Amino acid sequence: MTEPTATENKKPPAGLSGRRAIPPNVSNAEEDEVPEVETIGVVPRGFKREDVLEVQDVNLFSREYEINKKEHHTDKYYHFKLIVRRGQIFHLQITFSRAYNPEKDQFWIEYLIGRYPQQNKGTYIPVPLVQELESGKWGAKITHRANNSVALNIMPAANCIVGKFRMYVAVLTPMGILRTRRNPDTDTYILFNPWCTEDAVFLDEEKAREEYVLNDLGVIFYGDPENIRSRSWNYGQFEEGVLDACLYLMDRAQLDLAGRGNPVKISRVGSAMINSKDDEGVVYGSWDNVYDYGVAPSAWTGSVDILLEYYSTKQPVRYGQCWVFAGVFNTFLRCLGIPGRVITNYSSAHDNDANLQMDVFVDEHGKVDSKLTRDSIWNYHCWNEAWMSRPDLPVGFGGWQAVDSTPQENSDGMYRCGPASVQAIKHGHVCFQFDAPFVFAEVNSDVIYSKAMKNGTKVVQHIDKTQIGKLILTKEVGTNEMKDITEHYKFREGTEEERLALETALMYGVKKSETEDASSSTEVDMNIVVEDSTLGSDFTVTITFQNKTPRRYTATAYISGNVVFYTGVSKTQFKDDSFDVTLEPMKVETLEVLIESSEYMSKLVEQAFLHFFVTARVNELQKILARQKTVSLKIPQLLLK
Amino acid sequence: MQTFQEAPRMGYKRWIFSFLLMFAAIRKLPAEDKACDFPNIENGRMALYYYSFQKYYFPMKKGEKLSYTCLAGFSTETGSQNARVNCTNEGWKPVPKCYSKSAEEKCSQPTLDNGVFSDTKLSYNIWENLEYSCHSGYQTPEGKRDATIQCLQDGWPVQPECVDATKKPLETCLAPDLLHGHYHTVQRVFSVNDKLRYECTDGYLTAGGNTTEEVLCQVQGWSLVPKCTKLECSSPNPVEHGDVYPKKGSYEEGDVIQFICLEGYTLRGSELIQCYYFGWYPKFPICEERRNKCPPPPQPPNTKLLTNLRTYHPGDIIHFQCEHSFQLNGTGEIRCENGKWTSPPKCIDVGRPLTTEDRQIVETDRNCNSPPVVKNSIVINDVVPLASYKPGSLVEYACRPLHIMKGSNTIHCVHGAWTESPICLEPCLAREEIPGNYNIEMKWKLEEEWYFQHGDIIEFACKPGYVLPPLVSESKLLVQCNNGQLLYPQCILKGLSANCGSPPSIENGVVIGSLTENYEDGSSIQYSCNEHHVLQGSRTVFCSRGQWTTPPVCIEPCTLSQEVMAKNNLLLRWSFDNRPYFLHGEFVEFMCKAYHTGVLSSSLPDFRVQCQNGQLLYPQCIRNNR
Repeated sequence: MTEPTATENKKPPAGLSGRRAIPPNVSNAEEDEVPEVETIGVVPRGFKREDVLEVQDVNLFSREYEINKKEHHTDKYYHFKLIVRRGQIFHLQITFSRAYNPEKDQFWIEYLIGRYPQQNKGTYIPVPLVQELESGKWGAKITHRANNSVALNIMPAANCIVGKFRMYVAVLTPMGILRTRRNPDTDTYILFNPWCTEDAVFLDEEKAREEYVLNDLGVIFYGDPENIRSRSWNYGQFEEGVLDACLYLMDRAQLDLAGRGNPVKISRVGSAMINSKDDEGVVYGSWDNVYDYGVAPSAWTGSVDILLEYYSTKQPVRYGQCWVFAGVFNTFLRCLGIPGRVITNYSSAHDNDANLQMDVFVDEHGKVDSKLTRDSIWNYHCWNEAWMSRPDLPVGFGGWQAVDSTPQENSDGMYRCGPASVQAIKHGHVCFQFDAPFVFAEVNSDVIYSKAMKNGTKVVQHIDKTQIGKLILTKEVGTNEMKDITEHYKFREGTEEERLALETALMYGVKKSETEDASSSTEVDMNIVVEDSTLGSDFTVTITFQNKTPRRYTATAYISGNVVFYTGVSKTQFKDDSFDVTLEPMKVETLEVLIESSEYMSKLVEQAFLHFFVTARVNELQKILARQKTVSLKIPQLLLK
Repeated sequence: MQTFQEAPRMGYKRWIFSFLLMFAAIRKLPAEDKACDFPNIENGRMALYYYSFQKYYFPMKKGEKLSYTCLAGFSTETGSQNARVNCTNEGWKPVPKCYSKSAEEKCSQPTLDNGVFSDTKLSYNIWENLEYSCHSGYQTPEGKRDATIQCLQDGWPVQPECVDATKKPLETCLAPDLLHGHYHTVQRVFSVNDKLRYECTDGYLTAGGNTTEEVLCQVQGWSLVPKCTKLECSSPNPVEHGDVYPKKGSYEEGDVIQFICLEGYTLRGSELIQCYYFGWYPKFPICEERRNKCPPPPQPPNTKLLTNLRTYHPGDIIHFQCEHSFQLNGTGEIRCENGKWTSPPKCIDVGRPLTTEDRQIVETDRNCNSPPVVKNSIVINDVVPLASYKPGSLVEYACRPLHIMKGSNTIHCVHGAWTESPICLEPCLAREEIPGNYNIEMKWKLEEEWYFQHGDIIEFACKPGYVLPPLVSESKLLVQCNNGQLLYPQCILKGLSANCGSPPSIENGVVIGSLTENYEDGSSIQYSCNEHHVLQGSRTVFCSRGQWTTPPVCIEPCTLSQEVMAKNNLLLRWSFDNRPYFLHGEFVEFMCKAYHTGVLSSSLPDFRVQCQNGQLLYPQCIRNNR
């Protein structure tokens, strides 16, 4: 059985000769010409044409009500061609020109993908006829014969390449190998199979599979931890054209076909391709509130339009923000058969360079120095988790893997992130690829308030360890309720295990300065509470000082109120006040600041986040206290009567 | 008085009470759930974080699962690299364990007090033996000066030991740990003269070579130390001039070994022997010099061998006899000398043994003339032809290259005549250029001229622009070579003959649609008949290979002729028959006018008449007689 070769009158492309035998095989959409007749041996001496077994019809049972799509859970795809999952039997029927005689006739089925099919790369698969099918290995078994038809069970390998295969039936005749003609109706899509125990994405619970693979609707959480909001998202992975768009994505990324059976590779390439940076990927990110010639990120309600637009225009789609990237990525994962879910991390440290500290600088008076303060904390950030085993890592790190397609930082030269094992992040084993230190810092950073001295040095005033990664949520299985998965990413604050995980992460290269908290929590404590309120109404910000000493102090408090984007980046300041307070010994002093709606309403941006920064300088101690808080105003409820 | 008596009773009660309490407490203890603790997996590892976060994760509760992986070179019980265990009430099930994959396990040098090893190696390969001797004043546990232990898969079976020899001989015997077998008692220490019975599992034999054994505790130890050893056959002795495969330290029941002799030596005996519970069977073969044997003796045609030995050695003599009607030519015996046989005799065909009558018949059993010449063949065993040939002679033919022989290649001279000679069938020559009037070409391109043997099939195709004539089957393109003859098929010009001209016109009918001059092969047109005309035949005609199929006919209707009706004195019987046209096939019924009757004659029709092709056969009526 020889492999079909490209037609001979094509010269190898320039630049290849001597270096490679064939060009890189990176496109699923391209095809080579498969010869219909391959002669073997010398010129034939003559034979009877009626003896040859010719294929007249191939029935793939590819309609959504037929057995294959039902058994493989692919009946929801709007597609006429056959879509099956690997590692599980599907059925075929071939009708020949005469009855098949197992003693004299020999035929087999071939699956090809891409332009340069090669058997050792898994891109040319001759499926042998066997007596008994071996689970997880390619094989075809004849189940029964009737008249001129033969019914077959085909078992694809559990590590088969995921993509669109061309199918041919080859018959061995005395003249040579006779193949069926190229027939697009027999094209077969082979996807990941979370139902198959040998597949790398095997997921053992039926309810989880129904949610993370077969559910095409979901909710994405946002807002802030005291005011959690959710938006619906239509993943639409089964809609017409989406599957082909996802395969086009991998072609565009130039991912080698031989690697397309590996979910680790595919999810990493997906995280690079969904954002438009470096590679003209799917979604163009914009956070500056200017959305010309495109759709505002909060206007999208699903991934289908975005993917179909990208597939047809081949240009990045404008515009998206983190939940849009996450929604589109989730569609990509679920469409190919990898179980996936969108998660939201409240107070996410951004652009952290795997550095566990977010620096906030205040000047000598205690006011926030906005020129020096560069790090920002996103009110919330959405990324994805994909379920797969990790044979490239030691035992115990399979399961949910964090992948993030929002362009935040370069991972070895490209804007991509993951797959990072969530178990590794939780236990601090951030040495294991990919990008685990970055995700660890996103959920674990400390906020360090430092005073910038005139002579250039910085003195740490206060370290807030609990602000980052306050809450991590995802959609519950089967309902639209929220599921708290903070404990998947980190141990509880203050526990021995949390400290141990941090030490392990430091061991593996996560950076953290050795600054110790020099704050004066033993002397004066400051706290800030923002009243829960709806958009358009006035509300109060209450600042409490607790003087734990028998001495009396005076303090100057600065309150800065900003309208911020959800990324924490400030747009405009709407409040800039200072107050003098006297702190009586062993007493609690309360300061109430009224925020009127007229102060902020005109300055709001989408998503209505307000950020308050309160710093206070205790004059006698020369120490600075600092607190910050972000609130998102509740949207007034609309009741239709 | 009372108090004195009560006190002991009180104490007794207290004692009972506390005993009951203690009893109850002891009973309570084992009822709690046993949790699964941190497992120690030799040569295997769990997820890294279980080691650093041990206190957090262990002990695990019932129902929890744990994955582990074996180090390189080791595998789980099932042979895989990873496995998962479950926490049950009895701990981890199955117990996580990693086994060595390679057979290259080694035993490290054991420690030995009061004795010395025979060599100083630090590690021993599996199956290697280690000897040791005890210093003076010490002896091995068996009471000897030296002992040998063998490195097995699980390590050293026993630790080497040198014990004080000055000690009195043991007065008790200790039942040693018995692997692959069990004792018939739980007792482990026995006095002198005690008997101990033990049994070995399947595939193992006791020290005495049985399945069960009874040993006696004697002053110096066991009569036979209880041990179960795998059924083994002794290692085969080295074979001179040969070798044994596979080489093993010990062979188990069922093992098969193969003997191979060196160059110049051959095997005498069986090449393969198998180890059974009773030893090797069959006997070991030997390798002997090749020259000491001869190959099996030859059997020339028409001879009978008078021996049935299996092997032949130098000096053996074999006698021959010829078959019936053959005569021995040469000595009737051959000898085995120096590894080969002397030249065997020939048996020549002489027909029946000659008798006096035969001599006369011999006269009539004449010689034959020179054999016939077969076309396209040569004689291969008779280079110089003789004038006459003795009866029984034979002549062998061979056909020229590419010719196929039909018949037997040998002819015999029998009763003065030669048997039937064969025929050599000629090949066909197929050239690129085929006579032009056939308009065909070879389907498969030839390099030059190509000869096809008789019987081969050559495939032709019509030249471009030509087709097979109508009604000629495709199989005519497959031509078989028949003794040099090829029946070429004929193709005709497609353009002119395949297309048809305008379809035929029919009387009383028209072609539906517009007419053109040229119709392609396979096209069709339909006809329609004029009003009142009946269409007979096929409404549609096809153009097939230049010819139109038969068009239909349109049959005229009939009209009633009033003159004839008047002349024949006829009236229409039914009023509905009063119509101008009758279609072909329709019936009309007449009746006679008043006072008339029909003339009944064979030549005239009856009163119900059918319209045929536009003709009506009217009946006749004549006036009644008075």
